[in-house]
Amino acid sequence: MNIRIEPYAPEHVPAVKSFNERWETRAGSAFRLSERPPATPRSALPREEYLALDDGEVRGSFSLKRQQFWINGQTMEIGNCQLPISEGTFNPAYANLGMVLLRHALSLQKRLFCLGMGSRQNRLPRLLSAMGWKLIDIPFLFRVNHPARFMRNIVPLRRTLPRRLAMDAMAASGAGWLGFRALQARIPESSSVAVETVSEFESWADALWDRCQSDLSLSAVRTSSVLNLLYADPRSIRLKVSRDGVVVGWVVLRDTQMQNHRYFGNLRVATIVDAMAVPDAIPAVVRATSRIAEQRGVDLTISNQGHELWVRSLRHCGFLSGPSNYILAMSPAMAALLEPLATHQSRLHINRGDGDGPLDL
Amino acid sequence: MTAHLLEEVRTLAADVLGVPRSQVQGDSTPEHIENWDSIQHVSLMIAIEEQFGVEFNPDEIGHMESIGKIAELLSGKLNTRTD
Repeated sequence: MNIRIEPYAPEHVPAVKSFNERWETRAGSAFRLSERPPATPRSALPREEYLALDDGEVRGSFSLKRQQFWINGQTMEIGNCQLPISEGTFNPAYANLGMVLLRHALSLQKRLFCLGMGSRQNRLPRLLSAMGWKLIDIPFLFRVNHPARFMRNIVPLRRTLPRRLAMDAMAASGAGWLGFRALQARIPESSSVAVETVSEFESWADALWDRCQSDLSLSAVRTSSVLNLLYADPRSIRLKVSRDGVVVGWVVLRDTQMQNHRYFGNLRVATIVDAMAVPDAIPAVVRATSRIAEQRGVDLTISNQGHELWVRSLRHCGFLSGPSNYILAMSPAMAALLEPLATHQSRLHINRGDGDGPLDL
Repeated sequence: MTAHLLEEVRTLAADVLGVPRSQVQGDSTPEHIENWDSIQHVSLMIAIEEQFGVEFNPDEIGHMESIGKIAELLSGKLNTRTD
């Protein structure tokens, strides 16, 4: 075996296609590496794509997104390692490849994180944990606006026939409505902030970032130039929130009609993808955003938020905690910058705007 | 590579992989030992690095296909350190 890691180039496409065929047949996964030579879309931050090659055959892959982060009082480059996959998943001859890929990624940027990954029982979080990475669950919160539609569509709660029957009965009888009414606090009334939909982030976002960053132990730099790259797509609803004429926050919201989604079925889902606000305005920003989502007619509003003030404000607004499949894994060099972690963990500003963004939402 | 080093790696591997030492030979690979998956490979590498005070680079790990190969690369690493 003579593994070499190389940037993905056009001449690798045939080998990538072969890898995809093996992956589909032997790993039983619908995931496919892109069969087009990589190009950086104008709307995204640069992403480097690497392939693990053994005698010309692709045996694995990972992507690296480099981004400026604010971390414990300093601004520096941090790498996000995305989708490390290895033929070792189904071929024991490549059992060493997962570690090769991750060590190679660390040689490119030792301050590295992975995000998402599903359950901690999955292969990648276990592998990262074995390599001494620090794993933190980023809380998932949800608010049900239309209980009957929620119960008829939410896939994880409808996996067995008895559950489906029970959920359908609750939806039809109104018991679900009563249940959520009891569980979820109403969105508190608030007129303390004004919300405006904007087409792009401007200098007000930079001023807000300057005001907010000292409260955060970890956050991707969220200046207007970065935000305009991340959220240029037409599906991002950009909300500017002001109080007494001063900008105190912003939110990026998505409103998506799901179709046979693996978790959300055919629900219409609003996602609070990303947000920033001065600490004392966070509750008002959350209230205003929740109300906007409700007024748009979505069935469900969801958010993953790492910072405890956002989590607390969402809960105060009637959001419930659900099982999180959104895990932050930090390399030892990155985690060392946040020592002692117990002190900094409550101020990690990580949400669905980080990593590979709001895919699938 | 000394025979003693190979024996040490065999002992360590048997411990990490949770198999009898007799099952771990110089020519054993992940294809021979059911427990030896990518996660156990990481555990084995980390255990060796900690025990011998070395750190393997990605190229070296890429060549570690068998217990004998691991011991050989470890031996080279230790020799370089003592030179």
